[in-house]
Amino acid sequence: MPQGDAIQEISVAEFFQKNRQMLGYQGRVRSLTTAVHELVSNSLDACEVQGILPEIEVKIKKNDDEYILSVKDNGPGMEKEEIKKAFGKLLTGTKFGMRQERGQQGIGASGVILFSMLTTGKPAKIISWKDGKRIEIHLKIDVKKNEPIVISEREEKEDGRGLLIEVALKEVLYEQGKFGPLEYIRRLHLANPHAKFTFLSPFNELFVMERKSEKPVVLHSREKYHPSSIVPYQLLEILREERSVQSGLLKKLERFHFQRLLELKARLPHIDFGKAGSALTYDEAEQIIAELQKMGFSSPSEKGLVGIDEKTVAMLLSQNSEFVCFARKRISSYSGVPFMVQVVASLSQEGKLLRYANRVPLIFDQNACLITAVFNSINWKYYKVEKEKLTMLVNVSSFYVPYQSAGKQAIAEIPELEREIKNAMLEVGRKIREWKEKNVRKEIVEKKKEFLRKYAKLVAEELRRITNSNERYEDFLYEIIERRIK
Amino acid sequence: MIEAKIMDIIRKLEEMIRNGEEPYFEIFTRGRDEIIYDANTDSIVYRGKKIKRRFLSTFQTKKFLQTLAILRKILELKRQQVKTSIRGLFYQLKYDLGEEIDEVLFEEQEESNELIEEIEMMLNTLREDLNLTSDRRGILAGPIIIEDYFGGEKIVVDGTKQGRSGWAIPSDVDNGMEIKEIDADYVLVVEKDAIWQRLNEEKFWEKNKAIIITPKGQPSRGTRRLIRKLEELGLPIFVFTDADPWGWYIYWVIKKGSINLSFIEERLTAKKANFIGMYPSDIERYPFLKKLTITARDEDIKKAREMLSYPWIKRDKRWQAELEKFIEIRKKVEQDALQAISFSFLSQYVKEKVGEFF
Repeated sequence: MPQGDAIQEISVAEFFQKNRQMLGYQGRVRSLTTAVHELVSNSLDACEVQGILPEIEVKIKKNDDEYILSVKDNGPGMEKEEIKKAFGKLLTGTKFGMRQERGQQGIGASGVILFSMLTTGKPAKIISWKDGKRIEIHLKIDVKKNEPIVISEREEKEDGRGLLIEVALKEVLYEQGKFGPLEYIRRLHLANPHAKFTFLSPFNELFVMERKSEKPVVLHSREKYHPSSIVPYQLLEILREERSVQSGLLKKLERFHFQRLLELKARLPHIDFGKAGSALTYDEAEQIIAELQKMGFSSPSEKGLVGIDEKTVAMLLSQNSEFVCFARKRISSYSGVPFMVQVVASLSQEGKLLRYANRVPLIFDQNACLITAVFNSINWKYYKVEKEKLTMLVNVSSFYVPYQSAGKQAIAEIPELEREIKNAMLEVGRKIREWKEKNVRKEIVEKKKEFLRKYAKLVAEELRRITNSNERYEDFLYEIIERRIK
Repeated sequence: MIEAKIMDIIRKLEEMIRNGEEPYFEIFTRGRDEIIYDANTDSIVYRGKKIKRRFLSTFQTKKFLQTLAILRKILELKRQQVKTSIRGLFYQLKYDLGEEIDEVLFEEQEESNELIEEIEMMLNTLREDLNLTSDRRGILAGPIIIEDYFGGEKIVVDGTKQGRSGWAIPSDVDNGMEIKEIDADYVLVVEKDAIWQRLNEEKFWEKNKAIIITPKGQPSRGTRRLIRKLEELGLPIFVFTDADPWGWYIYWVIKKGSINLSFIEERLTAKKANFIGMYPSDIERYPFLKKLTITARDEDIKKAREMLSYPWIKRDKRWQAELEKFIEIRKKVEQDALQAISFSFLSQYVKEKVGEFF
């Protein structure tokens, strides 16, 4: 920067206004799908936090070059002030502690409103039903101050429960293809069969995706880190407000109980574990972590990590396929954050790699994604799989999914993640190969039986000519064939 | 008898099938290794392995059906009292198996020929008893009366009244044929038809009280069987061929049977047949032949070497020496060469050689 110029301060909103591609609003098709994604994710999260079986309506209308997008859910609804903060400010949110929610950075929904403003200048309409109240707010975002501008608000008595957001959008394009919102909703439904979706397209087509599972999904929060992959600054951070190092370790580390604390203390006799957490030095933190890694801990617990229901997904995929299988859940951690990898594969007519993070479909940036890289690195021919006929669904669930960029469509190259994704895919490859080999054997046996049955008929005819009888020798022979050829 | 044997096999198959067991045929494997020469009886004794031809073994299924089909056909022939050649059998069985299988029952006659041999072994009988005829090729002349029951009539064959063409020896000389009278001292088997005709013209058979037969090359089954029957009646058999391995092979086939034989061919062999020539040593013995020799080809030498390995030749010193001489001088000589010196020399040669045995 040239000297003498004052360093300008811009607000977060201004920053994203100037860099909206970072939020995923690049290209007209992608922009619309991103907007749908942000609002629908919010709705799903809101339902799941309360253990509600979600019902979400998405409507897209078109007037010349302007689209109207509205998303309505049956979630808990919101209070007036919550609405203003959540939708009128960037980088706020209700995500405390590590909860495995889809939206993570508090940008999502407000980002949609910002984008709407930027392209149409119009305010967003938000209606909430909660506790017998109906609240309607029209608002914009003050870009410079990163504050909500309330254009109008109204409150009246009305029963019901849920939230509706409606925004106007320009510079977007509705497409039916694999990058459009409908495909996004379809894929979302595949991984979230407990949700019901209704989708109205700009062409007035109504798509209803019924609930396929009654198992409600409840998101829990999680406050603990896993000792195998925590890094020093994290350790310092989580211990900072603890009374003592040892009580902090017991409280904040997963799988770390008293016995292991004693073990750790024995290994590091020179460190005073009784001192205040804030007194721990970086050096000491490093040493503790080094010992923790040597000690070895069982893998992070599954509790709180919500993934897809493999069985239901497999069942849904099996409707169009000859063989479906899935790998066992793989749970591990990176940088202290637990994650889970799930893979479901199906042999069908087309080759598709369906990527998911926390059960949200990742539609864009396929080539930048770790999942794609791992998938391509595997020699599928070895597993007797033709890539063109393999549909694979991969879901990575975590309290903190590492994305390549703010666009959140590609998973970052984290070694632990890479390893588990690969292992799960290889497991699925093995299952497919096993099945194929069994099938080939079955085919061979069938062909052999067919061959023998044809000859059985002829042998029977010869015998009849010789014995001058009507005896059905072939029936005996068929039975012998069935019994003896395996 | 044959019908009973076949029906026996069929009943066994039926039983297997009705009991839910995989049906199979028991056949003998053939091949050099299973053929054993018994020095005590100076004959080929067959000790082949009995193997099962199983229906469920997909490589054998078709053969199983083929075997069954041939048995069925043989029964039909016997029941209808009709004969057919093995080629005829091949064609009669060569039908479509049906739209489902895209093949015919037999692709080549070789397939059915092989199976017929197997069935002969399975039933321990010659194919003539299965109403299957083989090609015939021999010619006979001489003091012999044969009654031939043919087409419902009795036909009398007088070997002295067959004119210049001689009597064509049929393929089956057992069923419906009877040797009534013989007024000969021996049987002369002459390799080549041209030589036989020479001797026939001369009425060699009248002058020498002999029955002259030509197999016209490799002897057919009917000819071999007739020679054997004549031997059984007490007649000495003398075989006269070219001095080359193919001629010598004819002698050994008459005497011992073909090397791929099975024990059932025993009825076709004339065990006591004698060889009167021509030997390689004849070239020395009759010097005029020196100018009439032909150079032996590689195949001839190969055949000679092969014959040296036959067990019955191995024990015969004379034959060992003669074959080795042949391989050494690489020269062969034809029967016809004996006529070079004079037309009558041929019969002279024969009389001289035969005389050595009496």
